[in-house]
Amino acid sequence: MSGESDLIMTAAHLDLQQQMLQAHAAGLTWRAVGTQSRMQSFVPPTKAGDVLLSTAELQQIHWIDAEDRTCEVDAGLSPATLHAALDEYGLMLGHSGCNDDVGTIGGLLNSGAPSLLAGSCGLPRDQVLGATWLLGDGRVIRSGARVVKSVAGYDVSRLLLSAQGQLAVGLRFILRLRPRPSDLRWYVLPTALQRPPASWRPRADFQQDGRRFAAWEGCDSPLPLAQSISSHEGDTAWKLARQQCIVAKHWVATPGPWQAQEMQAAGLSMQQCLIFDHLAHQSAWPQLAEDISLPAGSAVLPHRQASPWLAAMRQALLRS
Amino acid sequence: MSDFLQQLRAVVGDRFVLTNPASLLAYESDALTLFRCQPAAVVLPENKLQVAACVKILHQAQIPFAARGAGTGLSGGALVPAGGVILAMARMRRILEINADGGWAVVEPGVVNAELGRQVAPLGLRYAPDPASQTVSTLGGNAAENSGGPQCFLHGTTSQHILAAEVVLADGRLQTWGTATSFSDPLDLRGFLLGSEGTVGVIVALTVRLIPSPPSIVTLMAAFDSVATACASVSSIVSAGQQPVALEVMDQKTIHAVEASVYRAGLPKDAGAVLIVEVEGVAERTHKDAEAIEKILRQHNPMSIEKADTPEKRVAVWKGRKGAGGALGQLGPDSFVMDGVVPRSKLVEIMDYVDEIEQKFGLKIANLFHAGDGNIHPHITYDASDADEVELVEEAGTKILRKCLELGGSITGEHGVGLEKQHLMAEQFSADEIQIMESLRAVLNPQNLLNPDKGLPMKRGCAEAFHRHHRSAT
Repeated sequence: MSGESDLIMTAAHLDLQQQMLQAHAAGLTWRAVGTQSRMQSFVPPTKAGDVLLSTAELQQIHWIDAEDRTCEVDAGLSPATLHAALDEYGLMLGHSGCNDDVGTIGGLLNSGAPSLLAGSCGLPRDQVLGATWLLGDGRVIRSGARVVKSVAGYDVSRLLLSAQGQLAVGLRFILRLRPRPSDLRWYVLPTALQRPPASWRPRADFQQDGRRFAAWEGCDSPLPLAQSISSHEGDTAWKLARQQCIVAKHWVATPGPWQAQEMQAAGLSMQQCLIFDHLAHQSAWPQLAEDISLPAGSAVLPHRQASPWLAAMRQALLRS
Repeated sequence: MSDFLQQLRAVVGDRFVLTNPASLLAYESDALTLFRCQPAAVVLPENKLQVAACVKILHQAQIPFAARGAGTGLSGGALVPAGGVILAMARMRRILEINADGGWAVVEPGVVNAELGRQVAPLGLRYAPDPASQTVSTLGGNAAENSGGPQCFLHGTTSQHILAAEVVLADGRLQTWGTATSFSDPLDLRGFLLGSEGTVGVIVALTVRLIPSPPSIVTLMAAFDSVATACASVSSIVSAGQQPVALEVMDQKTIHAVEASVYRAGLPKDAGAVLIVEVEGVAERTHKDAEAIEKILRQHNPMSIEKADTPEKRVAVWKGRKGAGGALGQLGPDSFVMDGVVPRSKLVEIMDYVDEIEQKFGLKIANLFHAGDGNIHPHITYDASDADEVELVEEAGTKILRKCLELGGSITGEHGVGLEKQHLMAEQFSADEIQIMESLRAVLNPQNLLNPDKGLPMKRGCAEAFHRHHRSAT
């Protein structure tokens, strides 16, 4: 990337830009969406009156650079399409989760959706190296860089992504890629409470139905008690893991210091609390509570309110 | 004595407000000595409440200020303009909590990177980011710069290992951004803070991610006749789908400097370049990967391949690599350590260009770099008492970074923009993109008191606040 923008806007980009300018001129609130497959479970639902700016028509893979392990794709591309394209190069996005068939890359990155590979690859957002954004006043800017490492300027990508389509519309993303594991083996541990030894670092790890599933790459026998249930990505365990990702993300976790403060403020003891691991909008709680059978005496902490900084940040992104 | 200094003394105690010019000398620059400016005072708070109280006083008095860790930064980021105050975090070096089961620790910003590693190692854990300065540099400074290091090729930079940060805002308010167990916040200000070079908040506590220590590590050291061959072998390793932890290259000048120093690691002095490759993980896999990588290396006709198969040998290799920056200090009175990034596939091209610049400008440039990330660190030796040479060094540095941009890269991979690279920001980003960054910063640092004029291009007239250092000839 360098200096003044040389971005080529496609007809779909220009259409979105036009919609944004109209919304801006009319003083309407807008919200970026993909196919809306992650609404309710990962991001707050849209409000009546919101102008929805859908990136679902932006579906291009602009380039895949196998040597540098990077690619640039449109926000509306489905993760499943990208996975298939990367397969040809022996590469993968460091992500595996639910909604990959019906959702979009933009939705995946904006929603903060979980990944079964978060332990080894980080979160979906950690794979973003750079992005192209449509701002509320119709301007198009880029953030980040094309290379795997850059600390020039602020990390605007992360900030805009975390606002879940309320600060800017992500049009294109430059993503870090990883070699596709050739030998990913799944193991099931007899009980969910059984933890792998600390020295093992599973590629994925989740609980379901009182059992704990974990995957290691290229390891024949990671734990004596574990039962190997598969040896390749793509078979039953992997699919099951993807389907159950929503449930898996709500592990009972050891509370961190900040959660402890919240619990104290809510008058709850550690034992009473089930710590929800990350974003789940309030409207989705009842169903989730049923899905994961909350233990007796559990309480659900309220989801954090919208950031008090959001309005100021939104204003800052408009031309002064 | 100024009112604000009296108030600061009341908060932290007389002996922790330094105003004596001799005491301030150590704070007039960071490890990039090209820029210098002596602060009006240095304040050493003991805890976050003292930091918040000090910031309130400075905010009220409209005094510019900046936080500083160990001062190992390489872009002039920890300097304040004349009349400003440095908040030195040297007394805030407590590890407040280690949660081995949860895989995190809470630390104060003055904790030295390697010290955290030492404390968690007996628990089978580690903190992954490993800048070469890790035996001295602090976690607060690492977070502010989003530091990298050799292992970042696999594990990612600092921002992927900081789960939460407690910060004092420019007006003295305390806030916490991020959580230890949550994957994301409603607005990721934690992510915006990391790498912001101290311009959006003063870090007073960090929740850092700890990962299990690997059960097995294998380190290979391959000697090649040239840097180009070493880079070609890096490309082959990556193309083969291997995922080592680190891929590090040192050229011949660096090898000689290391071997002539206390960091000597038994590097082959006749080699044109040395490549260090490290793999880690489950023992069976690690050994298989190391064998596969060795096979790839042999296809590039190495002069030798050594396996550091004991912890002692491995420590020696890394002592050499991480001490290389210090060892290069013996090549001349002053050093300018650069930092640029190119796509990995352009490494040979950029290294050829660095050679061309060395010849054209008649400078001495040694090279050591994170080859896996395409992150180069040309190390220019010069004499700061020679004003002409200083100008030449700056011009050479600018040309190299411009070439990085031309090749699709970035002007900085881990050292930050600081004062050094501001003039190049407008070549990496458009006017709109810079304006957006300024506007976002202004939300959190509206009066630009917090580490003013760093990271983004300065407004006209601000540049004079910091002067380039031309050491007087003795």
